[in-house]
Amino acid sequence: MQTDNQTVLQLFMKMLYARLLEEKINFLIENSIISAPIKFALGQESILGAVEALKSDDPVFYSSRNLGLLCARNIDTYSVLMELLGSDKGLCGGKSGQSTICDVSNGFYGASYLPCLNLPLACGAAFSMKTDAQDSVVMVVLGEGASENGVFFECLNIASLKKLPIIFFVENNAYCGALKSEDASIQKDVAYKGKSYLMPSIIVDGINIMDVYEATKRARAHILNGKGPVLIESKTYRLSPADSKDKQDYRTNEEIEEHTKDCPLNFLSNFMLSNSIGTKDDIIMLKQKVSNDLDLVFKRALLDSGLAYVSQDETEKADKKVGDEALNGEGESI
Amino acid sequence: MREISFYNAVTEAIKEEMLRDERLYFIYDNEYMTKFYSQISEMTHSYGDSRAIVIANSQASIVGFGVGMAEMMNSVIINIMAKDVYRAMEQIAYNMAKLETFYAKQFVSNVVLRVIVEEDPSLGIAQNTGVENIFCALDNMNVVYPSTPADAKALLKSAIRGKEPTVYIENTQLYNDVGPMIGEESLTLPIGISDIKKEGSDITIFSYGPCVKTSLKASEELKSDGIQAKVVDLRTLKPMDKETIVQCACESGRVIVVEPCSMDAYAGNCVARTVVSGTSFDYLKAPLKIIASKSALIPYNPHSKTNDNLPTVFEILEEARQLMNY
Repeated sequence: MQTDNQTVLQLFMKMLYARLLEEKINFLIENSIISAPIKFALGQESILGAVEALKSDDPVFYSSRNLGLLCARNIDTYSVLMELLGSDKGLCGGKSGQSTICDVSNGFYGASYLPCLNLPLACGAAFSMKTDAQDSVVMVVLGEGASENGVFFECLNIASLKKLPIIFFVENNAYCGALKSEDASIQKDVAYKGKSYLMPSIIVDGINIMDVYEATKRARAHILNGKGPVLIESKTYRLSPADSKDKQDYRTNEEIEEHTKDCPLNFLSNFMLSNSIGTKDDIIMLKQKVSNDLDLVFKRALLDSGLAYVSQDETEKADKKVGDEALNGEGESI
Repeated sequence: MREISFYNAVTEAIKEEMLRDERLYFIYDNEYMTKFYSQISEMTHSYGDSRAIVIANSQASIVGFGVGMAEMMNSVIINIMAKDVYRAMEQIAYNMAKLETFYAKQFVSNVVLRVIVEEDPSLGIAQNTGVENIFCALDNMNVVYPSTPADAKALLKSAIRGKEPTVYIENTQLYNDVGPMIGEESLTLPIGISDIKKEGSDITIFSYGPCVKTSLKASEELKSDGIQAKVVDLRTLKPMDKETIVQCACESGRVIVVEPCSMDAYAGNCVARTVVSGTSFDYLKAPLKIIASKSALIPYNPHSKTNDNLPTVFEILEEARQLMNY
């Protein structure tokens, strides 16, 4: 099923926003303005396709790589930044940082700092929605390493047995910290774990956000017909380090660069250009607009916390890194 | 005034609260169901599968499941056996105790965790005396441990209606104890208030749970020695009723704590800390004595159903007489 052009453009805007937000926060860390170990999810922006496919009040529970996800719905980026900076005006009053950041009014019910910590919460919330007969579906996002955990299997059983309206979205990003996922698990496809609990499970291409979007829409319709939970496994690649203190000695720069050419943003921009959804100039203009909007938010947040304002020249240098890879190369990228 | 057993008082409290609030959910596991099958079948008959929810073989997620339901503006009672507490500990420590604070109160956690402590000597390695001390080490949770039927019913109702995560500990050794039910049927008790079960001005004995009975018996026998011993039932371990502790210690100047687990437990140390660091320090006439179980583990005994490892009346009498002669 083809995604319509309006949705493709919307998905591209959201991914661009997520990518630029993470690059800019990384810049703050490199300049020692934030020194907490923040976890980034570059290369995994296709999760935003899954959130777009849900209704705006469907509860979402997620994992510790959550900054990109927090660009969905109407979540205020200023509040997200203030939370990371530890201020009272943050989403959680500056108490949690990235560990349990949440915005319940927009249906974002919180991160889990440890693997599978909020899986049972999601199952309980799904049971409550089912009992109240609301047309809502709960989604919980976890990684492939967390799917080895005992609590994961307990929750698969509970959800399948009670036919809970929940989507288990597993982001398989090929690395569990420094260890490759294929060296950590005997079962390389998490979808078979869902299948063993008689749950419909599908594997989607996490590089193609449209695949993720359509699959989540189908899953939601399946669940609202009363047929029980669904597991979606999205195969992606983690471009960023495990956390901001990770030196990445376990993989080569060549490997990272190869996967950067294949990232979700490049894929979608190629698709747009080859299907005449936009021109190269349109995309460059979009990037500039999003970057300017973000800069204003960053300036306000940093000034309000009494920290040094990062100047325009320096942020442009960081932006240029993203621009070169995604848009200005010849041949395969375009 | 009517007499009622501990077990029936707790069952009445649950029934009344389930009737009163239709957004109250009762979550249990198959271990609880095996032990209390008649209670469960009655509840399922009245309220159905969607209000009396069974989560089988998943003690590591059952508490999180309950908190997840509480996030959707429900009230929840989660029932587990004390031997499964250690497996459930991750969810209790993170999702029950801390979540509300780290979410900056974006939801209210109406969760009661009802822990059934069995002190059968034939349980072997799965014995779980002293499980209350682990909950006391976690912040932001109330820990309640009643000893009489009237207290049990009133405290359970308070815990359910209160908007804070609470751990309610029930000892099966007390189930057949009969006591008076005083006051109205819907009586609740505030959490954090202790109870003076017997007056006296020479010595104060602080106790909780199954040791309150023993302390009352010792107090009766001390009367023949001319010693008037006050017996205070702590009822709530967290937050402890520090005002009453200081007041009683000032009055009598001699304090004994009788607790049902081994010496490194929470209650005795908390009472000692309160007595020594407050105004009562100047009024002490003798050192503070803590009487606990002699050994940390209940010895295996296939012929007994009661826990014989608890402090005895004889030990309390000895310590009390020594304190009076100090």
